[in-house]
Amino acid sequence: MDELDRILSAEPRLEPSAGFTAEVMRSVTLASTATPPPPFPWIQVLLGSAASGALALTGVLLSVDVDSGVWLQLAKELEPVLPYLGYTALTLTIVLGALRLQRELAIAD
Amino acid sequence: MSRGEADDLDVADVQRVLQGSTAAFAGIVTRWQGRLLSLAWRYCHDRTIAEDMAQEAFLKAFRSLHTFRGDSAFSTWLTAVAINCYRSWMRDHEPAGVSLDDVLIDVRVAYATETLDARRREEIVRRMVATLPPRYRDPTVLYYLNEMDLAETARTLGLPTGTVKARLHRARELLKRRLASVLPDAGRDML
Repeated sequence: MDELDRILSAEPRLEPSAGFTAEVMRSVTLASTATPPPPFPWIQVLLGSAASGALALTGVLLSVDVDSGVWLQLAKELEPVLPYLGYTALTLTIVLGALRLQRELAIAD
Repeated sequence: MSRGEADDLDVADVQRVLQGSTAAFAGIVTRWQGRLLSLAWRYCHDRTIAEDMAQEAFLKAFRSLHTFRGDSAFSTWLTAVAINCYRSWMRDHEPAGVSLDDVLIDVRVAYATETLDARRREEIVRRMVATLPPRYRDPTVLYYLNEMDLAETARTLGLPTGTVKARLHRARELLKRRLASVLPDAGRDML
C-alpha cells in the first residue's frame, strides 16, 4: 500500500446528523402515500391523431381535385336537396345536444 | 454485525416493505445511512449536500425496491442505486460538485497563508478524486470505500474486474500528475 492508498483508505466516515433517519422516512412515507400520476391518455391521443390525419387527407384530396370540376358538378347535383341537408344537420345537432344534456344531468344526479 | 447477518436483516426488511410496511424501510436506512452518506461526501465534500444526495438515493431505492432480485447482496444493489443517483445529481447540479479550479484555489490560498500541513495535504488529495472524470472517479471512490475490494467494486459498477483495474490505474496516474503540479514540494515525496 503506497501513500495515495493510505490517504484515500483513511478518509473518515461521515456520520448522519440527528434527524437524518426521520427526514428520510418522512420523504419515503410521503412517496408511498402520494397519488400516482394519471396515466398518459393514449386513447384520446390516438383518436385525435386519426381525426387530424383524416382531416389532412380530406384537405389534400379536395385541393387536388378542385380544378377537375368533379366537386362543382356534385354541388350542382346536390343543389335541390341542400336545404333539406341543412334541416337534417340542424335536427341531428339538436338531438345529439339533447342526448348529451340528458347524460350530464344523469351524472350530476 | 457480520455481513451475513446484515444481509438477512436486509432481505427480511425488503420483503416487509414490499408487503406494504413502509416503516420497515427504517431498518434499511439505519443500517446503511453511514455508507451512503460517506459515499455522497466523497462526491461533493459538503455535509448538507451529501445528506440531500443520500436522502434522494434512499428515496430512489425505496421506489425501485421491487427490482431487487437478490442476485447480489442488498448492500451491492443499494450502493449501485446510490452511485447512479449521485452521478445524475452531480450532472444536474454541476456547480455544487468539487471542481479542479476550486481545489487549485484552495491550494494557492493555503500556500500563501501557511505551510501546508499533512492533514491539509490529505484533504486536498481526497478532494482531487472528486474532480476526476466520472469514468475514473466512480471506481476510485468506490474502491476505497469498499476497503480496496476490487471484486466488490466491479460487481457494484456492473463492470468486469479488468476494466475496473485499468480505470483505477488510469485514475492514479491522473491524480499523481495533477497533485505533482499543485503540490510541488511536499506533494511529490508524499506520492
